[in-house]
Amino acid sequence: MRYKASEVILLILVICFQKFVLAQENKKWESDFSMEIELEQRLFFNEGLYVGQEQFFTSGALIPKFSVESNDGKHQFGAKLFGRLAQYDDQRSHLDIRELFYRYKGKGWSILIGSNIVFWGVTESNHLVDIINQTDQVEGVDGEDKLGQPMIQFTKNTNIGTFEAYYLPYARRRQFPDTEGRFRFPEVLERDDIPFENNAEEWSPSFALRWSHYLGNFDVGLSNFYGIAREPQFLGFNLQTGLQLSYPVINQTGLDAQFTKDAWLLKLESIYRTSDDLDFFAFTVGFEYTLSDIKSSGIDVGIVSEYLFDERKELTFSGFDNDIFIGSRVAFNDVQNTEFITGGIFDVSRSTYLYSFEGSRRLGESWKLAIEARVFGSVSEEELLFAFREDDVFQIKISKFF
Amino acid sequence: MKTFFLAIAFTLAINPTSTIDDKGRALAQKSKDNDKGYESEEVELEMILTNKQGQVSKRYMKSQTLEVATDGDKSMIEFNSPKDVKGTKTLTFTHRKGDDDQWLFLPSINRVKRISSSNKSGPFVGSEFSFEDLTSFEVEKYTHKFVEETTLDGINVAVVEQVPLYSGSGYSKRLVYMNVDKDYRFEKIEYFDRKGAKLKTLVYKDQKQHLEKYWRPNELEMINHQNGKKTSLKFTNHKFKTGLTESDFTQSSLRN
Repeated sequence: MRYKASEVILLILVICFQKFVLAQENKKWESDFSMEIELEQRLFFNEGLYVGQEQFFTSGALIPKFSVESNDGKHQFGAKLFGRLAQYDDQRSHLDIRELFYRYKGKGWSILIGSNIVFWGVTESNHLVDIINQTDQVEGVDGEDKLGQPMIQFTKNTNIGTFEAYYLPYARRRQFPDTEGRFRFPEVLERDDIPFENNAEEWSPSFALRWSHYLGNFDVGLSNFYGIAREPQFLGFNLQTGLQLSYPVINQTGLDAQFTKDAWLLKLESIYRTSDDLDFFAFTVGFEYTLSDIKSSGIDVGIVSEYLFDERKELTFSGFDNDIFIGSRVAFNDVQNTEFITGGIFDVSRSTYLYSFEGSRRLGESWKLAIEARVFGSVSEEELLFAFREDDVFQIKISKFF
Repeated sequence: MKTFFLAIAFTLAINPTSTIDDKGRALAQKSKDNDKGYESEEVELEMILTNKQGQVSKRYMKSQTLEVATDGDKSMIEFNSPKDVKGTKTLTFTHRKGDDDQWLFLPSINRVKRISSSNKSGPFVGSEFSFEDLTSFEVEKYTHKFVEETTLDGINVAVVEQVPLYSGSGYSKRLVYMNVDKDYRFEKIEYFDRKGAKLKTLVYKDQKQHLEKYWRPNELEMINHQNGKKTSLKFTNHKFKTGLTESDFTQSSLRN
């Protein structure tokens, strides 16, 4: 029996097509889109210290999120954008790619290429160990908002813990508020005002390694970061040039540990950072104790206290060099997920204190109300925070989730 | 023959409760044993919360569980709604003895937190289920006392009274109704508060047998008699032996 060449080719094509179709059916993709729209009103109690500062700010934000995952869970794309449009302070109107990555997941290991946000650490009042991402300073003064960081991240799970390795090809600068904004220094800091200490500037790569493990009641993490500092290094005040700030090359070794027993959480974060101009040691240590389901009401009340130490003293960028945080976290565990955390940070060696309140509650099925207040008291002129002493604020946020 | 009866009477006389306790424990163990070998399980959940006025609120979740032969199970729950907590995950390592290990992933700040598992009696996301109602059943976590054999809606059931041995429970005891003819699967649980008053009733509805062995309800209904609220958990897309391994239940799998 003989076939013509054209018939053979046709047969091969049909088989190939069938195989291709079958392969596509086996590899179905699951996609997911969600979005948050937020309206925010900020009210500052006092007039600004500096010319041009406004007192009442209206702004809105849009946070779309998109992800695609292959059916077998091996291939994953993620994207999360953040955009804010603000009435005053042009720098607060900003757009950022929080996440934009591809991840391949093998058995017990994964690799991620793209932009992402990585959080390390355990303490509540200060985040010393957390170093991969630049802080989104115009978004919030508490340093919890982060800018997306381009990276290649490799993760491997073993019997002796999780190992992570990072290659960070690009360093992002911190953006500070504009003339009209609050939480700023007397002089307006442009993004490019703070210099890098190496020639490659933004394109100077950074590297990081982390090992984390869990043993019974213990969770522990050890990390090392080498590269461009995310937090500007503050070396003092110069009458001619103003604040002496820069982004040096640093090496930071970090340790974070938590001991969890019954209703107790004992926490420790500690870092040692070196650069050409400054070597220092810092730690945050404390506890959280939760009284749960008080009198069968379902309400949890937690008491949090932490001591914050930083060898840089008045050169500490956050101002927390010898401070005590005392706070309380209350969770109602109701259908509306009502919760709040309130507390104060008190400087042990100076007069400065800072009170804060953060509360939130779901409205209906897809709305959320969040309230925040911050009050500065007797801020010592030795600290960087002295520049913010009139910036007591009340903030209300309403978000709709799609 | 006479000596045989005497022997039984003697045994009962020196330890009258032990046989009743042993029977209760044996029944609980039988129920648990029937579940052995499921390896792993994945299911989608719809939680329907109804308050006294009849207002309804819904949550959607996905759950993955891994069987651990020598200890309690490992489980991961991911929230899909309400939308403001979408992507929030919990990872729990249940232990037969001592507190469970539990972590929480908060997607808004990409943070994994080890949390205390000592809060067992508090409500789970505002529902009538508390944390202890949702952890895997382990025989070692209770004392067991056989109460009676009776019928429940025409089903032959054995009733066993269980008293929690772990600290922090919101219950003084619970009465478990096991189906005698269906591998001692649970049909109903009645919970009694710390003062001994009846608090809640859990009913296992529309039970199906998977892989010709494992009984699972398509719905769990929890009624709180003291506050008049109700929570239903509906299960869809039940899958067993899905190939999940230890590496799917780690802190880094919470982040991915």
